[in-house]
Amino acid sequence: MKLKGRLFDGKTSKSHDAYLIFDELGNVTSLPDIISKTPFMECKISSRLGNTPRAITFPTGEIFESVDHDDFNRINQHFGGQETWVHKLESNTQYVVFMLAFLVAFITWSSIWGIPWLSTKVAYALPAEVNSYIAQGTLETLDKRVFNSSKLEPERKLELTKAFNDLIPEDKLEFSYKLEFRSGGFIGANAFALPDGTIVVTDELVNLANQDKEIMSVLLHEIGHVEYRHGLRGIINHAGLTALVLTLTGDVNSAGTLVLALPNVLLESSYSRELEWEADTYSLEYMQKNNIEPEHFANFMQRLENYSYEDHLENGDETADNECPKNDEITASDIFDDTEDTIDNEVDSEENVEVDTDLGWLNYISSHPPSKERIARFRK
Amino acid sequence: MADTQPLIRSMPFRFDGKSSEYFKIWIVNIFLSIVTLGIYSAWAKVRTLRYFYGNTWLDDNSFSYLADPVKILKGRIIAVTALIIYYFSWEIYPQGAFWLLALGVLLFPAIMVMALSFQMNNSAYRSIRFSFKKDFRKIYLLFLTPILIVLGLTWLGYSLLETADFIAELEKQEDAGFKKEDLLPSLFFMFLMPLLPYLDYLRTRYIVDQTQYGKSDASFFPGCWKFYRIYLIAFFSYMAIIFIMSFVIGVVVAMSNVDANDPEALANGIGGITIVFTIVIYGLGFFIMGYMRAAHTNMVFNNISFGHDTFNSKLKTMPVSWLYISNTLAIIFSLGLLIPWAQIRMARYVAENTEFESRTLDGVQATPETSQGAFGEEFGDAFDLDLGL
Repeated sequence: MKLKGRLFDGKTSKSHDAYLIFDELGNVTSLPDIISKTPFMECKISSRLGNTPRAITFPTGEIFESVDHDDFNRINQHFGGQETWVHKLESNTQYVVFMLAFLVAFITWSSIWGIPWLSTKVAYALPAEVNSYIAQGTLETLDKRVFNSSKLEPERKLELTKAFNDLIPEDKLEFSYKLEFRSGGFIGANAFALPDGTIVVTDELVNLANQDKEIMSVLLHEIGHVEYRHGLRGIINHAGLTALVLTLTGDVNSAGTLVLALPNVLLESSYSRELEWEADTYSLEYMQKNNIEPEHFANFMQRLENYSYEDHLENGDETADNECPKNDEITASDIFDDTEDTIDNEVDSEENVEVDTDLGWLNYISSHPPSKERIARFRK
Repeated sequence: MADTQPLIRSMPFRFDGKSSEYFKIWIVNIFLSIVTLGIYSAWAKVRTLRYFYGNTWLDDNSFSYLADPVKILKGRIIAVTALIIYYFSWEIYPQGAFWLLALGVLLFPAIMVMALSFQMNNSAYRSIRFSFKKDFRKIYLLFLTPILIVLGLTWLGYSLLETADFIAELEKQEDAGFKKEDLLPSLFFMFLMPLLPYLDYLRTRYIVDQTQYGKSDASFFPGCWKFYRIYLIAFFSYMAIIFIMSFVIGVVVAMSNVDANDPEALANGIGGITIVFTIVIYGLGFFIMGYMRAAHTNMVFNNISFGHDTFNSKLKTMPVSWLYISNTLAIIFSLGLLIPWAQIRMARYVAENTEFESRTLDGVQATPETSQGAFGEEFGDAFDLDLGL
């Protein structure tokens, strides 16, 4: 049997047009006579990959390359060589269609349901102390970058802390709840929950409320974030999505990564909206248990929205300039410490204005559900 | 030798990969990578590169990629572990993470050298492997001076500004959230920017100078002004686009009936224009990317020589830009399924517009084989560094 191809001596780049001659005992010689008689079994055969040349490497270093795939297969099989199963998969359209269907189903399932499901399981399986680990240093960073010390009267703080302490779930001691007051700086009226149970309200938020019940409804929302371990779940969601994207693009160049950027943003914000919705559910449930009318949360959300909207109007031309550092600042804190999921940005002015100015599709990249829907839940 | 030199032949590269064939390989790669929780990705990488190398032909011989997937897997495990440690240290101990990042930056040149070495040692043509002369001292010394200059200027600029009145005033404004340390990164990048083409030049020269094909050395000759020229043209074209588009927006707003005193209407009006503006900027951005790719590749390859042998790279801005635009649109609208097609088209265009000019390709001697870990390469991969020439 003969196989046509090119032979290299392995020492120079000279390429020889050559035939390999196989005798019945499985010994190989070449024409022209370059290699000494070698048993085929001792040669290294490269696996088939599309129609790229296949190589036979001799123990003495010579390399023979051929693109006559049919002849190559016949000879290889004759001497007991097997086609790799990977090539069988790669060359069979039916298998490929099946794998494609599996991939579409798997990617859809895992990105919409799988990752949030997994993050919930993992977050609850991990010891509660993990939540305080991830909260470490966050408040210090925020104090340095964003907040100033609170200017509220000590009596007012005490009053609110007392009311807050009544809201803390009694049966669970996993989190050490603590209420902190800060002046919000450029963030304005807002409230944040850190995963360890530290909850921060800004002076602006306290002053915006007509009654303390409104503040309590917001604090319950924040307690919901802590109780449901949203900080940890947010981190795991992010890690899960990163792992999925890495597996998908592991051997793809930047073209693929670029295209995945948008779905990535959409999914991350959908996870975040899901958690906000859950925190609202907690707030709704416990407001009823603490005899606070759900109406208060709705009223306060409405006022927050108007407040941030008026803020926009007052500032007029400066609005655009004001917004940029705002968002930069939030992403920056996210870079220094992944707190975007633990920071509950109630008055993301952008978000609220979006609802009002009918840029409805932008809701898909918002970290919070549309305010109208949130308010409607509490007005029922 | 000199008097018996045969005539110089110009040999075109050729790319024979087929989208339909590669699509199947690609799907199998992703499928097996997911089913094996990522382990197969090392084999997937080897098969992908083998496919692209094996279909690239020069003078009726193809290239080959010979890396051992197990080595790549080991490198990947190390790199992913490092990434996880890095990621979680941001959550738990940000100061530590910052120092890890600093360590990573410091190690970056060494990792780049190891990655290039692995890549070259596993690339072969006509049974002769490429190789890379690892010289860690040289690469650190090369980058030391420019980086020290940038750091020095940053420090100087910062100490001058630190005492300035307007900085103190900015800091006093509570709402601005401004701290004077915020200046440091901006100053650093401001001084780094003008040096980027020079750093690119140093890097390219280092890579080419250390590369060997068998025993034949590659060398690189242009001055760094050729890099500056390309970067400056790209930069000023981009500035021009922004300038023209801003002007157009101004005119459109002025001519429309939007009431400038009604902020809500103004916001609505500008909102629509901004979207169009963004799309146009992105679209034109592809032409600048196309120019950069074509001009940069041509300049680099046309200045590489292996002894008397040279390349002739003839990429053109418009076709490359069109490839970028059409590939991106195709990938977006096919939800990623046309990624293989896009890769094959680009590889074909580049191969078909590159020639190798040589008297003979027969005389190159092999060098003794050395073993080489995949750590550097995979580390680079995991951090998504551009290691291409």
